[in-house]
Amino acid sequence: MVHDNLHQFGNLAGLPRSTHSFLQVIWHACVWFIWKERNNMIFNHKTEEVGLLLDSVKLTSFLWLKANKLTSVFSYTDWWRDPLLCMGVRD
Amino acid sequence: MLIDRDELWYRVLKARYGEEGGQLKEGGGDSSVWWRMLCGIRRGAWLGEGSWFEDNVCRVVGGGTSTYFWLDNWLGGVPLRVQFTRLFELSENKGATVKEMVERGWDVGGGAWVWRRRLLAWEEESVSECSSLLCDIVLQVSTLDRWRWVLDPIGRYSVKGTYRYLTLPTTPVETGLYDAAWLKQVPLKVSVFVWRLLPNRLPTKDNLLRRTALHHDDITCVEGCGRPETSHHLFFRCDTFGGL
Repeated sequence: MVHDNLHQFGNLAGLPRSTHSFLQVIWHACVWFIWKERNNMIFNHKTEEVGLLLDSVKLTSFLWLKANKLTSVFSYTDWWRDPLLCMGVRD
Repeated sequence: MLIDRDELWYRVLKARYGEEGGQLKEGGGDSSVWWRMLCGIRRGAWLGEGSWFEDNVCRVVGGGTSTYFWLDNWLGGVPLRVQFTRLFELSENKGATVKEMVERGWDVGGGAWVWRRRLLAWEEESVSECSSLLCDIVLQVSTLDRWRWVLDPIGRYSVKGTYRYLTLPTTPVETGLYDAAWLKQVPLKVSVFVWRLLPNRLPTKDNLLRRTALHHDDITCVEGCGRPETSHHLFFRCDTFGGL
């Protein structure tokens, strides 16, 4: 089931093949943060707001992509405002 | 366990624990824990079926002096004791070596076959079947018998061969499934995490319960939604996280 979700998200219908690696990175970031948050709740008894979690996902996925120079022409604000643009979907 | 029987180590272990049926004995409660664990591996303990160790060890017979005819796995993949159970039960020389058997003559009616009683017709048939297996065998007196690890082409024990053997039959490998975990952009720890997540191998509460690490009353999701925490629930269904 989990695998299907990754597959579905990673190959999101209608988006060109070039975006798939981006989407997969985002998916990885999502599950990674959910898991970290879950552990944080259980072991540290702290909770984070969902909105903040989402921000972390955005920032982290940007950094991961940036570190590999795939998106070097884009700044964080671009990524924030219009991820699809950064993926090369729109001109 | 795979040392040759005339070597020093084997002789030391034999003196300490004794030997039975061509194998070192496990010994009672006074033998060391390590030794008993090793013997457990040999028996195939802690794993579902069969013995991954013994099933994959065989003897390569040279001169036949240190290989047991009935007991060792040296011909046809299983010991003759298993292939010809009835004959083994009836034989008077259960501990004979291959060399002794060939010297006495192992063709039909040869001196190697010594039985407790007269054989029945079908038992005679299985003797001839057994000796037809043996008729091509020529011992090389100058070479020693040695052990072989079946899973490795070179015949030496290898972790790789064993790992493959142990993982293959239980988890049919869907290669595509795990490939998805490895992305060069994400940190290694995240890939490892996803690699565990995909086949549901994360220590989520339901998995912990299955391994009896948790009690029944402690398996609900941290969000307090009251449902059991499975990886599917946690990552996609739970109201709080599902939003992501």
